[in-house]
Amino acid sequence: MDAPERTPGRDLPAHPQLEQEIRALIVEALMLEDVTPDDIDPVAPLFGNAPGSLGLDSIDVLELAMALHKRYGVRTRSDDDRNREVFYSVRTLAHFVATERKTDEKVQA
Amino acid sequence: MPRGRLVAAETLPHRPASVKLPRPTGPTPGEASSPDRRGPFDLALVVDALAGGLPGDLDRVVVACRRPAAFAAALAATWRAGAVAVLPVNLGEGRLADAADAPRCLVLRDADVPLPDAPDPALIRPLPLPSLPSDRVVAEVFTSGSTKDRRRAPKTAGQLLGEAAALADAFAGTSLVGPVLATVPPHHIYGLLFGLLAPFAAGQPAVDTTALHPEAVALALRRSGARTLVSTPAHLRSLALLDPGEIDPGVHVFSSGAPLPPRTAAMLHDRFGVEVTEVFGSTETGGIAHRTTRGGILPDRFTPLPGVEIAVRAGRLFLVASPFLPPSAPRPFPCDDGAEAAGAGFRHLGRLDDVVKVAGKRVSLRELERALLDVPGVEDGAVVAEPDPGGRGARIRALVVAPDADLSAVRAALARRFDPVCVPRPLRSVPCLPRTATGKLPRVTIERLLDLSACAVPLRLLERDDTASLLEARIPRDLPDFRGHFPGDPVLPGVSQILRIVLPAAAACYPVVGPPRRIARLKFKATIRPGDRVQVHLAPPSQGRIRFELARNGGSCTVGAVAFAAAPAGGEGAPCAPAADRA
Repeated sequence: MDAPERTPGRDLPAHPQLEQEIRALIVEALMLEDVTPDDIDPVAPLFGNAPGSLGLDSIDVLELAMALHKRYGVRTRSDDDRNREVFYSVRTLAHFVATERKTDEKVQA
Repeated sequence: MPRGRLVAAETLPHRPASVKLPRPTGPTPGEASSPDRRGPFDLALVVDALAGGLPGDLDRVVVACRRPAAFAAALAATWRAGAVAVLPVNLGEGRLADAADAPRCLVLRDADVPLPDAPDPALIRPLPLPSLPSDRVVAEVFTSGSTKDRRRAPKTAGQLLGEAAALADAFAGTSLVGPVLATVPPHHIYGLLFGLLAPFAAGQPAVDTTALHPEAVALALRRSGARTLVSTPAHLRSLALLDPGEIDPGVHVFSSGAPLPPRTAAMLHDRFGVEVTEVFGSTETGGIAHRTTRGGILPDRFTPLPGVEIAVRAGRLFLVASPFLPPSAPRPFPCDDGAEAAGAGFRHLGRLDDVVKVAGKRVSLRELERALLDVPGVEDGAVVAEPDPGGRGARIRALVVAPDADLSAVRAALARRFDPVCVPRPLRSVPCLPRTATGKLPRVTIERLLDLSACAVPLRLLERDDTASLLEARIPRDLPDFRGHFPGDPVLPGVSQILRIVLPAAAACYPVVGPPRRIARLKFKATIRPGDRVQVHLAPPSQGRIRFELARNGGSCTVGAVAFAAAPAGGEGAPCAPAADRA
């Protein structure tokens, strides 16, 4: 159980456009039949069974990682602790994608 | 108490119920401590400590550890205490409560196992497996996934430990070379056998890791020096995220749990140079057979595991003899699998509910679809079946993306491999298939596209991305729609444009499930004539509408937006032939 202060993504800035895209990507890539993108709370946990979470499982996280890579060309390149933070919520994912994209642009510049 | 050896449970003295568990820290005595080398850690002391703390009259222990080292220690301690190890379906509290719902039963979680500090990932030194009478029940496995059905299947020492020994014999030295890293958790029978017990039986260490993401798996493989990866198609597929070289070509891969898509096997070979051994079996039957890729290609047949004798009767697989079957199971044991005898082994024809009979001839839809995809010139395809009230019994239809191939040649190729009655009819050409980002193609989408393509003009996909699709339609000169419309001045009617161009193109590019409901903002600006090549521009569905434009020589002919219903029209309760699926 995360203490509220330690909830990943709590202090991150929002990226509204990216968050909307990622919510749609989650519904599409994971074929969630009774969830619409608007149903997904950007700061709620995506994984696990806690109340209020989207209830995704470990196969969903792999499929989502592949869909994100296909769409944005980003990967986490790290261990599972870091992955848990990145994939915690739509907000943490959007922040990760926004940051990775900028890094790629800098590298290519 | 001799260290590092498990003895038969009956010879142990009774232990008091509560004993303080010492927590070992630092390197195990006698183990060379080297900061650079990730030496294996020896679980013997941990097992001693854990076993010493277990109550004396214990019947069962639910081994609910995610971490392989904790699991191995808890399992060994359970067996030393003479109890049965219960393997939960998953580690959720609800499932654990179900699993623990038995007399004199204890749950052991990761936190209950006093493991020493170790580098990440650590290697687990092989634990000697206990020597127990083969009919002694050593484990219980839940065979069903639903919460209502709590069927516990007992596993005897002969089944579980015997299978571990047989797997070690079959694969040690060739493909099961240590250290062994599993992405499948040890509380699943496949993860337990291939990730812990068979390696230990072969004297090989296991890697203590719970890595799941492809990057984490690659990192753990490199850090541990693992030579074998035990995994499952869903995990293996995600390794495509990695770059070539991130997995060493010397690593051997095991796959089980679901059929390994040939595309995934090919990806693993092309990207990393690794080969895969696919193991076929089930929780109920234990392992049955195996096959190994060469150059990333799966052989068409499975070879039975040592000690397993199979037979194929009336297209169904039977186990004539197997030490891994429950002792009480009937022999020959009927599997739920279609098969065809092939040499000393068999070809797997898919689950029996995937097999349909057409005019008395048995055919597997999955195999038919694979064969379709193998035909030269075929880029994509999908096959569905439904009951046919007439003499055929079942009707098989197919969509095929084969822009340059002759459909009759495709049909002929299928007829060479299957009975001609099993060749899909209709076998309809489409410019593309509206697969989702994950490659899925639901049955309702296939059926809708089949219906809408029935009267399509020839369509070819030129370009497609997330923002638009571009196709080309060729308007045949002899289309019946031109007759009388108008004499001496043939013009393609607006209705024909919609039915023969727009709807088929839209349904091929985007997953459409319901019938067309409305066409909005329709404008006919310029005519379309016999023999024309028409560009078809489509935008992805937005608020349920697909905008379209038909153009010729860069000039716009027709524009509009079509809205499809969100649900199939009523009565589409087609039965259970499976939807097409690809990795």
